[in-house]
Amino acid sequence: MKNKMLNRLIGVTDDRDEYQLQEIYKELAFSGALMFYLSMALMFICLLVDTFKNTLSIGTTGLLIVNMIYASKVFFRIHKKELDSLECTSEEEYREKIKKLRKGGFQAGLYWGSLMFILNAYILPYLASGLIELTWSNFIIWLCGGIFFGVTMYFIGKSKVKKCY
Amino acid sequence: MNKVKEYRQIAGLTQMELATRVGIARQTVNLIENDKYNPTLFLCIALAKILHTDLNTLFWEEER
Repeated sequence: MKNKMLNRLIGVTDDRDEYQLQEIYKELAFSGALMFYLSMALMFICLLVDTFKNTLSIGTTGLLIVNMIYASKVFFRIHKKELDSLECTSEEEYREKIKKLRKGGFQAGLYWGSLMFILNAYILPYLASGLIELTWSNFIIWLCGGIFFGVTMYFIGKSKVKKCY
Repeated sequence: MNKVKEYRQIAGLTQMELATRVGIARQTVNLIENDKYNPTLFLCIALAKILHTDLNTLFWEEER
């Protein structure tokens, strides 16, 4: 099934050998990642345009659904096959990795929280009505959102760390 | 450098003939001979069998 689909995609009728398949997979993986980033950027632009026009288009919704399906599928399949695992061979290495994850989680929470706050308190309200909604409740919501995001990222990262000692 | 080219010539085969016998593309044989592609163990064994030799002779680098 997979081979048939690949053959159709690249326009050949017979099976490829191991070198050719390896190169095809590499190219498809890179273009897939590039497409994902482009599609995320397009989704963001669509969201801005929709906010400006005060509508919710089928394109934005479709892009959101497609991107979420793609991201979840890739994440769960890679996680299931343990391709993203971090193996620790000593207690020190484990502690070092956990420390790095804590720092990474804090940074991710800070960046994501700030970005969402700026987007939802400044950019989107300004595009929608020309006014900026700067309230304490908005700040607290995105502060909690940032903390939740950072903690989630930390636990996702921690689930990838394997003790091998 | 591996000895695939040397043993292919001893066997009197062209790159195309060797590729057909092993079931790969001629381009892949060329890349293996020029050390530009690391074949899988499965393919190494297939090459060694067709060229009537063993893996050590074909791929083991001699110490200088």
